[in-house]
Amino acid sequence: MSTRSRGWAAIATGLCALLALAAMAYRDSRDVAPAFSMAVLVVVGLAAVALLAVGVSLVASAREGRPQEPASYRHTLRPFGVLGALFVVAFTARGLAVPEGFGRDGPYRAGARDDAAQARKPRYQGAAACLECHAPENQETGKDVHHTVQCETCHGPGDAHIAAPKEQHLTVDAGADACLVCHRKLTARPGPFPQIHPPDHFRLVGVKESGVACTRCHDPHQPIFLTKPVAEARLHPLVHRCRDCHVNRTDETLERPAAHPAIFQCGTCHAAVAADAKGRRHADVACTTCHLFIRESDFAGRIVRNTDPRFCLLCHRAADFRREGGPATIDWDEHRKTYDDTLPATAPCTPCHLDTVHAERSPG
Amino acid sequence: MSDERDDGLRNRREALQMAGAAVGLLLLPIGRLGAEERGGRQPYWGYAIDTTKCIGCCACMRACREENDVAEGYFRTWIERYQIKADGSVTVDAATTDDFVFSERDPDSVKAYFVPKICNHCEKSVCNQVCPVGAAYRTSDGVVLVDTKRCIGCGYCVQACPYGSRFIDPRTHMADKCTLCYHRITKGQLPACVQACPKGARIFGDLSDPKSEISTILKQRRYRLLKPEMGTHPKCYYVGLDREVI
Repeated sequence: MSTRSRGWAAIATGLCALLALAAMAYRDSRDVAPAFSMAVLVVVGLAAVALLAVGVSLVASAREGRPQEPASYRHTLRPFGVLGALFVVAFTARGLAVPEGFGRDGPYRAGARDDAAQARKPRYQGAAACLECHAPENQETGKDVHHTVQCETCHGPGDAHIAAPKEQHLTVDAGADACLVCHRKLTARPGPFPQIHPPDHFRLVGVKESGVACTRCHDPHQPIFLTKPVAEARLHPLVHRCRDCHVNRTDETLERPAAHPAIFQCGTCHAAVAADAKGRRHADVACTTCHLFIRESDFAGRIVRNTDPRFCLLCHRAADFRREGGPATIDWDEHRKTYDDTLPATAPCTPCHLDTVHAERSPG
Repeated sequence: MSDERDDGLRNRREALQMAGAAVGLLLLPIGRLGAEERGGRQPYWGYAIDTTKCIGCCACMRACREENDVAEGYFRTWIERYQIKADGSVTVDAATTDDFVFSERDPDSVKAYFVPKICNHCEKSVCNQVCPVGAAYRTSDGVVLVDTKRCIGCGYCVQACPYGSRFIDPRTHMADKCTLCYHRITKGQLPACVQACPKGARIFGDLSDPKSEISTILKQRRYRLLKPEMGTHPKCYYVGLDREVI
């Protein structure tokens, strides 16, 4: 290779290095940690300048017809050329391999975070979005025990329906299994949570078929027809400490350990009512079936007493799936006709039928 | 003579000052970067699970699947059921098939409870540290994510995670995991699992906000972390967790 061609090669490499330098400087002005890239730019720049100088001197010496043997200074500059070329190759490769934005927020591609934020559109819209159109349904759901359940937990994600309300309809699985997802009696399911073992439940309320859907009796939006929100119901303390009961009490029998109940039940305090309920037609029904107890904390819960006739009719409504010998069945419309329609549809059952449950209304 | 020396000294001093100023200028952007990351009112997301409230309905798992299109047979969140017998033996199962409905298996257990599991979004996450391509990362708002443009599917992170929160998606051959529904929380919505929970067992919120629900819970309730001895500093706080849970 002649001195002249070597010179041009050095000049070309130097120019390439300067180009790469400019490209890196442009990149780095946006991304990579500047202190590091500044050092790299300086080194590459020096190498490029050295290459250009060597090239120019070689070309010049070839023009002047100097002997081809290298002048004494040239071999000392050669390592700069090699170093420069190495830097160019290494950092061009690095520039290609390291993604844009790497290192801006940490050792990862900064744009990945925005990618993750835009990865997909939210499918579940939340109850607030449903309420914009479906407020009446919420009036029922809002005061009943399902008020903590999101619409979309049963109805499925509402994104498509909200985008095209007329075309895209939400379907809901109304079979028993859909309800039993939450309400099947199950090991590990917390005790206070209402749990159904279908055979037992059907025996209790007198259902003769096994495949009857829960929705035949229960409205999922108001499963037990509460007449006011749970949060407004009466707070009832949980019995934990002696003084929860032993305040201003004179019956000493409770203080004797032998007579003291190990587990506090409703009848422990409400003894008069419990005694009165024995022998009546609802004697087998637990107090908390009607006086629903919804635990709120370690110390208290809400006692919810239902006065809606539909609550009583959950057990007593006449329907084709009821078997003989179950709870007495009542056709509510027919029943009201016996009173010449003076009985409103929302009239509570207890004013007339309290004697089937217990005599007193609200004893201590 | 003495003037010359003075000039030399002055020149050297000026040169040193220039060098100092240059170094200072070079370091300035680094300092600014750090300040951006620390300061500014940006949330620091955390997650809490009240195991005493979980009823094991798996609404969270169904919601996660619908929301995030999770691969069949894999889970970004799941519920474990711990059943402890009288002799102290522990069995753990999870509803992974048939629409995630638990079956009655061990009715003779003396103690049983559900434990929802999810990525702990650790402060010192192991999965990030082992990733060879920088695809596993933790955002400054405290969420551990996967860069789907960089992941090569080597599976190191899957092996490294002490909580089993990661898996390789068989469709994309890339690591997949809980994102805390990053596409939702960045728009001010709740993660799908938190929203779907009918009992409020899953709590999501801003740990840097002392008035957020999760901060209140961490101040007032007794909680436990999973495998704290691993030094991962998990950010999923378990309220009411029993000692059997690992």
